[in-house]
This record gives sequence, C-alpha cells and structure tokens, in this order.
Amino acid sequence: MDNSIPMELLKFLSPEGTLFLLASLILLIGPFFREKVSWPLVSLIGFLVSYLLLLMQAGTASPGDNPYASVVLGGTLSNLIRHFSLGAGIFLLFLFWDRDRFQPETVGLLMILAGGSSMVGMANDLTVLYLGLELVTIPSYILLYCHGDSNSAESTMKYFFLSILSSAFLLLGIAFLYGLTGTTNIAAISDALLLADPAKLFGADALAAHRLLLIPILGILAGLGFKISMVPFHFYAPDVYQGAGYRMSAVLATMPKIAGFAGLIRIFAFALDHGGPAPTDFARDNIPVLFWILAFISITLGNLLALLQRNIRRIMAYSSIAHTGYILAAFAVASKAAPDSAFTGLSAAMFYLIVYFFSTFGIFAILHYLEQGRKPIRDWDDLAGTSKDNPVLAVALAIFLFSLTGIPLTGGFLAKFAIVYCCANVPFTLDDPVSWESHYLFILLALVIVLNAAVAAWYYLKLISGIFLKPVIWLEDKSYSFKPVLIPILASLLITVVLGIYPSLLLKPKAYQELIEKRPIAQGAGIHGPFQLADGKQ
Amino acid sequence: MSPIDLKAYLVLGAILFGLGLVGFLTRRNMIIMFLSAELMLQGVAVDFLAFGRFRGNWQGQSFVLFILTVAACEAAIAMGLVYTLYRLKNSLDSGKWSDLREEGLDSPDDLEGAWAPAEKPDYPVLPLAGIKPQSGEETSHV
Repeated sequence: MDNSIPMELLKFLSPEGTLFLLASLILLIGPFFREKVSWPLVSLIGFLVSYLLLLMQAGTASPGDNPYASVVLGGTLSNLIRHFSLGAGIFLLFLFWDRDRFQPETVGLLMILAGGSSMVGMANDLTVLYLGLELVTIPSYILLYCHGDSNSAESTMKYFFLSILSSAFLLLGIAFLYGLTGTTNIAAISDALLLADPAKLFGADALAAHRLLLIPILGILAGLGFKISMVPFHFYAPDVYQGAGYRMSAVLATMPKIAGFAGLIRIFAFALDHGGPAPTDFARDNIPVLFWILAFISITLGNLLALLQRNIRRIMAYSSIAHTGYILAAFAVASKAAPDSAFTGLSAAMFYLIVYFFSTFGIFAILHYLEQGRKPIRDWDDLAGTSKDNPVLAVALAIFLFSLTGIPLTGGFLAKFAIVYCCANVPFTLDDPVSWESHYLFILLALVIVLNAAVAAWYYLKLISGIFLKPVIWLEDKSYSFKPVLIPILASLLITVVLGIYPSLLLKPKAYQELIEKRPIAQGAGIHGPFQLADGKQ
Repeated sequence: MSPIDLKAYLVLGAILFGLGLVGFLTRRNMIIMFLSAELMLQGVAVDFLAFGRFRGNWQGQSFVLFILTVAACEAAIAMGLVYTLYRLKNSLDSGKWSDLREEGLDSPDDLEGAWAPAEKPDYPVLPLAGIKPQSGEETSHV
C-alpha cells in the first residue's frame, strides 16, 4: 500500500493549510510581540495568499478521480463555499482591526474559523466534516469571551454548554450513519442511502431499517441545527447575541451558519439533488417533509418572536432564525423542483446564504462603527438621531435592512423570490395523488414565506423608523474617525445592491448538479474500504 | 462480531449517552454538566468502536481518536471558562447566570437567597514581587 501523501492532495488543501499553519504560528509567537507587529495585516496577507492558492486551482480540480477514495471533493459547490468562507473571514477580520489586548489571538482564531468552514464545504468524509465543524465552534468560544460586551461571560457559558450538547448529538448521528453504511465516505454513504435497499443495510426488516435511519438523520439535524440556529435548537441565539456585542454577533450569525449549511448539503446530498438517479422513497418523501416542517416553524416562530423584542441584537437573532427557515425551505424543495425550472432549490439556498451574509454583516458592522465614542446602542430607540449624525451610514443601514426585508432592487428580494418561485412551481402529474399533495404543500409553504416576509417588514421598518423618524431629544457631538471596517461595509453594500440588479452572477440555474450526477455510480465497486452489506455481499 | 454482540455494545453506548444526557439536563453544577457531556461523547465512542468492529474496517477507530482529541480541546476550554465563571460569581451554579433573558421574565434562579454564599476561606497570599505595573496598564476585560 502506498503511504506517501500525494502531491495533488497537498496542492488541493494548500489554501486551508496555509491558513492553519499561519494561524498556529501567530498564536504561538504573537503573545510575545503583542504591540510590535500589526497582526491583522499579517493575517490579511495570509488570507490573500490562501485566496491566491485557491484561485490557482482553476476551480473544478479534485484530488484523484475516484470520489470513493478521496476525503475531499472539488467541484462548483465546494469551490463556491471555499471562496465564500475565505471572503467571509477577510470581512470579519476588518471588523476586528481595532487595537486591543488580544490582537494576535483574535486574528489567529479568525483564520482557523474561516479555514474550518471551508473544510466543511469540501468535505467528502465524515471525519473531515466533523473536524471542520469543531474548528469553527471551538475558536468562537474564546472569541466570544474576549470580545463580548459586559455580559460576555454569561453568553459564552450558554453558548459553550449548549454547543457541546449539540455536538454530542451530531456525533451520535454520525456514528449511526457509519454503522448503517459501513463507511465514513460521504459519496459512498449517499449511494448507499439512495440506491441500496435500506433493509439490506442492516440485515433487518424494512421498517426497522427506516426507524434506525431516523437516529442519524435526527442526530445530525440536531447537531447542525444548533449551528444554523434552527427551531427547535434556537434557544441560545437571542441570549448569546445579546451578550456578545455587535462584532461577535456578526461572527456567530454568519460563520457557523456557512459551515452548518455546508454540512447539511454534504450529508443530505442524497435528498437535495434533483435530476440525479431515481431516489428511494425515503430520500424523496420523508426528508423533504422533515425540512418542510422545520422551515415552517423556524420562519413563523422566528418572525413572531422578533416582534416582541426591543433589544436590537435580540431582534437580529430572531431574524437570523427566520432566515435559516427560508434557506431550509429551499432545501425542502430542492429535490422537488421541475427539471427545467429557472433555479434549483440548492442554487436558491446558496444565493440566499450569500445575500444573508452580506446584509447581516453590514448591519452588525455599521452598528459596531456607530457605537464608537457614544453610549452603547442596545434598544431600537437608541438609534434615534443616527440619520442626523451620520447620514451616509444611516442610508447604508437602511439598505441592508431593506435587503433582509426583501424589498426589490436589493439582493434579499431576489433571494426570497427564487425560493418562493421554486416552492410555487413543484410539478405534479394527474395520475399521482402523492405529487398533488406535495404540489399543494409547497404552495402553502410559498404562502407562508410571503406572509412572513410581511410580518418581518414590521420589525425591520421599526428599526428604520428608529434611524430616520424618531425625534432626537439631544444630539451628542461626535466625530467619527476612519476605521478599516468601513471598507468591507462599502463592499457588502455594493454586493447587496449589485446582486439585487444582476443576480445571475451567482444565481445559476444548473450549478451544483455534480453533487450526485457526475459520480460514477457503481455499487460497492471502488469504494474506499470494504463496503459490506450485512449479508456478507461486497 | 455477530449482530448480537453488536447489540450489546450499542446498548452500553446508549446507556452511557443517556446517563450523560440526563446528567446534563438535571445538574446545575457546571463541572458536573461538562463531565456529563463528556460521558455522552464516550458513549458515542463506544458505538463507533462497535460499528467499526462489526463492519470490519478501521474508520470507526480512527474517528474515535479524533473525538478524543476534540474532547481534550473542549475540556481545556471548559476548565478555563468554569474557573473564570467561578471567580466572577463565587459559585459553580449555572442558574446564577441569568442576566440575559427575555424581557419581563422572572429570574430562573429559584435558589436565589436560599443560602448565604460561603465565606471566602483564608487563601495564602503571595507577596508582591517584581516591578510594580504602571497604573492603568492592567485592565480587566470582564
């Protein structure tokens, strides 16, 4: 057996490798030269080098031809998530550019966060996926403690304990997925769940096998649902965001979500792809229903509870729960959409995630910038006078809020439109009552999304009215100094508006088809490690 | 390994996982809560090993090594975190930390005032040594 590490794989992993190596170096020697070096600059250079390495890979190259023998996977989707994670890391780095005591630690941990999320995006093995998720979670505990506001200790404690609980459930799910299929290779697992008769997987009768499959599916949904703050695993989000300060809220509302959704796409690939090989009933019927229910309650509960809040970060936390619901709705419809549909559910979901990142980042970054040298902005009435104070940023804040509401000419509108379009266009055939059922169910989901967008408009517009309309009793005399954070704010403003006018940059109808389609499907053949069915057949 | 043996190991793993879950949900001492969560991870590790043996490949065992590594990282952070939290409130009770909650809710700390906090024992104090730091330089962030 050839034990040498292939150069191809090393080259493929070099962007993340650069990030992790440099981050370790910074964490190791940074504390000795706290004040002497501009650590964010060092880290920015590291990010740029890693980005260049990623660009040099020319997109679709995968290490090795055999997806059953590789722990990582190239392709359009993994490429998009890797670019997105690195870009998000750079944006968040600018947010932490301020000079403070923890600079080397902060930038080092941010690099690990970005690298971990990008690892999840290309994972083709449950081990890589799990490690990537932990590389996103563990640094965020430390960052949360060091950069939160006065309540950071409590919010770290809540986040930490609930997070280890959720990661135990994720592991339980992964263990049973491995046990049922006999491999940790995700490509092989997808094939097994798609093609093999579930009864054969475990040598049990079909009903028992279906019940057994519920353990991995529910466990993984619980573990990843915590990271994307999906109802009913959302309880931590408002409390943690409230104590986290705007900068850390920006990190927690984006990075774990990118990683969590990437993980969901990877593991549930067998239920998300339309146009692939004919899926089993299990993948075609049961998992979309699960996503449908989760999307429904996340959207509704998130928006309704946000109406009750006064604290801006709590509002944003509930709004992030609702946005998770919209993306889950796109997941639910992913395997249902018509083959000639303008968008697939998966491309709509990725587009929504990207637009959501830039809008949320913009809001948190602007609020963080406005907080300098004045009393902290906690409740929505603290926003009074912002439009007189800093009219440019007030308008930018309003545009980001409009984008989250889904007002036309912003990216948020087209993102919601794509999801509603997919949900309303589920095809049905006259002689198949099951297909009518799903047709009407998804029209109902589209209605729920539209109605909830109207509900959400109430609290977003309340924030905007706080910025522009609330009478100012007493205006502080403030002068805002230039901060590096203004650069990514401007960039995300541009991206939000450009994606609202010209969405086809990222909203590509036929992207991400390679999840299942391109793979040479051969049961058992070429699978890394023995892919044994319980009756002893290879 | 026969399916019967596998079942026994899975039951063992499930018992460990369940004990950990019950401990996590019912205890309020933060160290016990963390240990319960670790117990859940070890239950999963038993599952992994049993499945690996049953399937006849090494992937389960190698996954357990990664689980142990991650659990060690989490333990390091947990101990640091619990220690600072103890220093801040002089208590390991997780119910003491309830400042962040929905508006208008009562404090969930039902034991508030049930007993007086223990007096601080007379810890030995190290004599001051070295150069005195300039005032204002040493700031606490908590």
